[in-house]
Amino acid sequence: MKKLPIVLLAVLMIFVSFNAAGQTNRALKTLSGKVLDETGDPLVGASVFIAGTTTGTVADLDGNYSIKISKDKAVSVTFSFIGMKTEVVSIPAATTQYNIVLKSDNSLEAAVVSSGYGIVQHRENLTGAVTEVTSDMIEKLPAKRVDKLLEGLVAGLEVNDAGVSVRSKYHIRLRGEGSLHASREPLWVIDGVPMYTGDINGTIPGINYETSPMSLLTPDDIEAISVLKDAGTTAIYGADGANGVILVTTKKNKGDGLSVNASMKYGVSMLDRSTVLRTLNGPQYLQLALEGWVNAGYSASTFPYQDNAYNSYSTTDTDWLDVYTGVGSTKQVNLSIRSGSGKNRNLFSAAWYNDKSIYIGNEMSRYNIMDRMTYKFNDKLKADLKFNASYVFDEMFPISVESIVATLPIFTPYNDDGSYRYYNYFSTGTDVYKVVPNSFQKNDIPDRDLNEQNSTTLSGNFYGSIVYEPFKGMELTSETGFSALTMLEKDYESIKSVYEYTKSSDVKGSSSRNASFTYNLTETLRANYNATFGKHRVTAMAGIVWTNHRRNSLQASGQGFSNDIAKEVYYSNADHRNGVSYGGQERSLSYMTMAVYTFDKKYTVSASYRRQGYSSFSTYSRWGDFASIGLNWNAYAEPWVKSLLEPYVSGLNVRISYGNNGNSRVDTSSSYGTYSVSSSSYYGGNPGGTQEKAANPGLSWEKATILNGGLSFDIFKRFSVNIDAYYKYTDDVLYDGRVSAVVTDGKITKNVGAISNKGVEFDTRADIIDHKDFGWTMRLNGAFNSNKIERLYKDTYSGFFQTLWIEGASKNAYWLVRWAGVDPSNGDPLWYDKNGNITKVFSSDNRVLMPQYSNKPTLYGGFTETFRYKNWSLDMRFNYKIGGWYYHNLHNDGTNILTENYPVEAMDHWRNPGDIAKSPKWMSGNYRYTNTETTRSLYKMTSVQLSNVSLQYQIPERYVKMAGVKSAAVSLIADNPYFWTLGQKAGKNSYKTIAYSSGLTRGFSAELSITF
Amino acid sequence: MKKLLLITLSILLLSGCEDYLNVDYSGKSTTAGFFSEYSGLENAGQGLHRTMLDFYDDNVLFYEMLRSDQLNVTSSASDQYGPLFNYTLTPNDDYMSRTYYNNGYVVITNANNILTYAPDVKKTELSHLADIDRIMGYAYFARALAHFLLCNAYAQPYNYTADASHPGICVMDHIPGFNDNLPRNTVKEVYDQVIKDLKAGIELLGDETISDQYYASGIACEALLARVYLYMEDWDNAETYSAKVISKIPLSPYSEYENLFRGGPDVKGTETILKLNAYATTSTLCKAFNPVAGGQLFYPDPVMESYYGDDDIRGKMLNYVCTDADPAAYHGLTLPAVLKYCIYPTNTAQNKMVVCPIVLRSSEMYLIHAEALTNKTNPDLAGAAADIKALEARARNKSVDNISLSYSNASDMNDIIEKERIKELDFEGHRFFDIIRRKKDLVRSSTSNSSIKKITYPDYRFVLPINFREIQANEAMEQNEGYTN
Repeated sequence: MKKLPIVLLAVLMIFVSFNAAGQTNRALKTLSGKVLDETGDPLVGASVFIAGTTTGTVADLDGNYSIKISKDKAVSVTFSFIGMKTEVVSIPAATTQYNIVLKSDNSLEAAVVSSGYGIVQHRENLTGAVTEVTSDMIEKLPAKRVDKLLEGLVAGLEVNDAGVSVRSKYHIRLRGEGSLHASREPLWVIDGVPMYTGDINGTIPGINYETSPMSLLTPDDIEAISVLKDAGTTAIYGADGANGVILVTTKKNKGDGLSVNASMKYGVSMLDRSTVLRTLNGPQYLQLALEGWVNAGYSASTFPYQDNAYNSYSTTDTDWLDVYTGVGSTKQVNLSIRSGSGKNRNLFSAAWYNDKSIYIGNEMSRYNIMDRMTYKFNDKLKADLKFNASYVFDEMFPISVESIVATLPIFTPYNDDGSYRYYNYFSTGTDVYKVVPNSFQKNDIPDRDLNEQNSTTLSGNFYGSIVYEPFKGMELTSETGFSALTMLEKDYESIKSVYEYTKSSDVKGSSSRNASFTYNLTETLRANYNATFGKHRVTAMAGIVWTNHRRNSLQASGQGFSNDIAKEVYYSNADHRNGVSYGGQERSLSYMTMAVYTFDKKYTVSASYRRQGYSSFSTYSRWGDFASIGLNWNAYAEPWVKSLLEPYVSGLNVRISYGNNGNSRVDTSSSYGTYSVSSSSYYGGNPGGTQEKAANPGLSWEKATILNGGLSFDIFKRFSVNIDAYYKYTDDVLYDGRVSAVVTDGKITKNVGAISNKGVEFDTRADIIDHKDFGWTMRLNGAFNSNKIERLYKDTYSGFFQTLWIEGASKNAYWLVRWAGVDPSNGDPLWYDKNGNITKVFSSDNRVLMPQYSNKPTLYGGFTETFRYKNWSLDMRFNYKIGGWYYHNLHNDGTNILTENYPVEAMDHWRNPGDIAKSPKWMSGNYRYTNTETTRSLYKMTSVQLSNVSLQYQIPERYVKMAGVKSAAVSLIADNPYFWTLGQKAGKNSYKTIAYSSGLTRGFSAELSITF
Repeated sequence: MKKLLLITLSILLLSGCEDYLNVDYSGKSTTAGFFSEYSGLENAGQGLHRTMLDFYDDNVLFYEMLRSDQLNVTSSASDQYGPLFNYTLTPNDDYMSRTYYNNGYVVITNANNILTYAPDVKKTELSHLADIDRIMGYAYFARALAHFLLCNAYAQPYNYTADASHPGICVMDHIPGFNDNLPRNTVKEVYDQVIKDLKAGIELLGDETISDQYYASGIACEALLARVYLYMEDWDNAETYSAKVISKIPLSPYSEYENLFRGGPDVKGTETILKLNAYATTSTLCKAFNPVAGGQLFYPDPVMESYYGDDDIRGKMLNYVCTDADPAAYHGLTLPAVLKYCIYPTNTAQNKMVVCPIVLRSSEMYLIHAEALTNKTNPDLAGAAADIKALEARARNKSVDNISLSYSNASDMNDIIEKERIKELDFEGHRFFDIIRRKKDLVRSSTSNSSIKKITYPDYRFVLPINFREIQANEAMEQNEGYTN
């Protein structure tokens, strides 16, 4: 192991000492001089060539070159260096001394792609699959969360709402799901430092409703995001790269002088009612409840919901969504100050963001400050220091919309006198009608008003890099990233909440206080070398990365309060207090190297290797090796190809990469085994401990191997097309499986099988009109993905209600009992059995695996339209899904009609013989499995969402100049203005009303941005 | 320049070594961390007893009862318990086929953890050496008990083959790896391991007295050894070990007899050798038998009452006479119930619903002693009769002189012993094994509500099927003959 770094070092030294052989000829003179950059630094390794030949040399450590050229006539000499504009100079016959200053080529910045660790590759020579998102593509989007911003912008990236409540949670998936149980979230890297985004489930340990780390960043600080998808680029991220890597580069000041930018944004938002489940209104509900009651065999005279002194059911029609929602707002103020004078440059930014949700009781305020300083101590040493802090206060009321719309419309949140309604009065017997009070547990209005539930998050980050440049082209970098995240969650349930108020125990009110502390330290030491020798271009890197992650959490809870004033656990009943704490730590250590070599701008080969050790795995499988190789052929640089394609196609290049990476994000106790002390292991009242998980010393990381091939080309220099296809094979997939009970009773995390994902992604851009005053640009991306379980340990339990994991099949295929409709003669539900025969008896055994019904769309992606006219610009962003099925119960049979409200589809049910109805005979309290694992609950996901429209007007300089303003712009922005789904119908439910668990929030905002 | 670079880099590179990845886990609940000091071991000793309790509270006792000829199952319990009771169990049935196995091996796993880590704890915790020995003794006892019970449930009795070479269970005397080959051992190998462990237990725990009947002891090891030798028909050793225990642990007197079972966690009982403390647990046993708590699962086959004389307290313990302490709806009723598992309704609320199952008690030792004396090379029938008389006298509140037994040979005496075992040890996990180790047929009475009334010995159904999950997960595992996977 220890030999490896030495070898790497040696490789580097070979690059350094490489010298192109000089040329000798008789009728020659020697031309010598220096190649310098604009600041006067020597450009080590700059190439100096006789134009149009392969004769040439490279500059040495001091930038000196010497080349033999003809002494008889003027000769054209080419001076070039990576990142600099190439100069072709005609050297007169008499000249023997020529010094040149090369200017940096700003256009190159757009032509290079960063894949982290200081490695940049020219776009036309890129070997991997990388999608870049620039700040202008995200600046008009809702600033709440960084992950959500990427939706529809990156081919193959899915943002899934994982919400169980109005507290949105998202899952990000790149190129499908390559794991069963380990984390499937991509790795986020901010300025070279991996970001802590929660444990394997994406949650912060010890916290119930956390503020996601994804909402701590302010998008305004982001300059660019690179999404790395193939092994060629992600293998260098080793054991965390299997789910893809998202590199975020934050802004820094690159210019001199003072510049101040301020922007303000204000917006209002409201619920798009057409995207929320439509349920029965009061009269419809009462009608169906009674019908269900009578059909269940009870007398209408004992129907529970008959008007009485306390509840007037027949006249009540509460719209519960109205009760829980209101007008939301967003407010945003950003300030940035850039100052710089040659050697020291500074960027200070501050931001305030406030988001008041349409779901009353949810409000988030975020404060960010950031300061980034870049110093150039001397020609060889520079530093980049960044401090930033975020403070988020999040007021929470985590109700689920599912629960809101299921609340009976014949109840009211308040009594007639305006007090909270704790009880509804109705009869509960089937034979006798007798009105009794029933506690109204679904009335969460007292909870919303009186409970205290919030979280406070404070995050501090430090980033520092010191770069030592012993000679041009060689950089030694130390990068340090430290971040600390603390969260405090308060949750107090009022003694006047329905649950506490109506419960029989006199221990009322409950309080919990959860705190989490995590810190992460990442130290990277690396050496980067970039050089061009004639037609050879080399980029190489070698380095070491240490990471250290520590987490602790505390939870305290107590019940029994005398009033709602003292909400702290300290004031609870001493007999009902509990406290726990947890802690953990992980470390990893990696050695890595990567090199990219390009010959003549045509042929590129890249290779990377990382060896990573991870403390969570026991010593048997602690180290993993991750490597990749990539090739690119820039065909367009070949004259014969160029002549063949011109003028239709340009910029054609093809690439292929192959490599492996891992996924170390597993439950870290898995390999060591755990003992637990809990009441279930107490003996005779004495604390006892029993084995919870058996040690699995052989546990190892999931290993993903990815093959990626792609090509890029332009048509008429207007349409650029980028296509990638991939095959990803994940082996040693982790899942909780069984071993012999002789070893352990419980399930153990083990490497159970293999999954493959394959797919095609495309990313196109069309500059349809590109005129000085008018422009129209369109971007379109999309992705196909399919997966297959290649191998599965035979005893991995794999029936998950609606899907089945089985060898040879997709993980996404539904596994359901086929619905055969309703028997027109008597309204009974009908199914198909396994053999396709109609049956009236439901059995889960009749589930069949249906590859034609996938729970993922066939094709998904996004497109944007950008129009520009003089000072105006208009942006429209769409996301789309084609194919795929969503599982949701819309049709019912009345089973729970007495306790929950149903979708309006309930009206369409069998009533009389001969009826062809969607739902069977309506019957309360008669469980007939009609909503259990059946195909009748599937809805097509084909849809298009217009997610964002923004109109910007750049105020002409002449108007603002007199006010001392450099530039100013005004924007009008609409979020989620429209969502279209296949099969949508006014007044009915469809995928449109079930796709988003909390509906879509429609927002309208205005923004003013001024630069002084 | 290059030299400087080389040196700098080398220093940086070499500082990152393997040690960096050895994160300190003490204070965490990783198994190694848990056992890093004595307190963890002490907790593990308690936890180990809890695993035995959990094993007994359902699997061990219910399995025997449902397989034998003393019990009826209520209609509400027939779904879950029917397959066992009616001998239709398959390897796919979770209940008992898997749960008995798993809960048994949980005991073994926890015992093995203690036995693996305790020697290291000894090196540092010098002030606790005696305690560590005691906890290791617990582990030897628990490991032996679980192996013995598992083997009896999943393998035919010891005397099924002449040399006990038929398949037993997998003997596990260490912490196995996930990829280890885990085949079945022969019954003889299992019993050898059990004996070895019990002797090791006696070594560590001493055999003079029992300090607390809620924990394993040297005497418990001896008592279990007596039972093991009885099952092996090693009459001399059975006699030796049962006699040892009888000499130290007297019978509970008549006046304490009912209290021995029904007193709740506060009552340990004079003759108890090992009882498992169910204090503050949710006791399955209690709910299963209580006729007034709702959810009664089992009640005695009415035929049981005919085995006892009118004056026998044990016969009276087959009916529950409701009192004012019971819910009003039950006042004045007499309901069939196994009173051994019905706590006095007058017990404190917290202890009302818990039953502490008895693992070993002195009465069983008398019966083993009698059986050993009857069957050894030179039978001592009078000695055996004395043992039986002691139990009868106590149960009927008489003096031994007033008890008469009529027998003329060893066979008579064996019949008497068998009957006495039914009367004394009913519902305590013995009867079914008495039938099969005596190679008798299972014959249920006409009042049994099982659908199966007779099974002729031998029969594959006298042992549990290995659960399909185990067969799948453990490639070396063989199914019991007669069952198909």
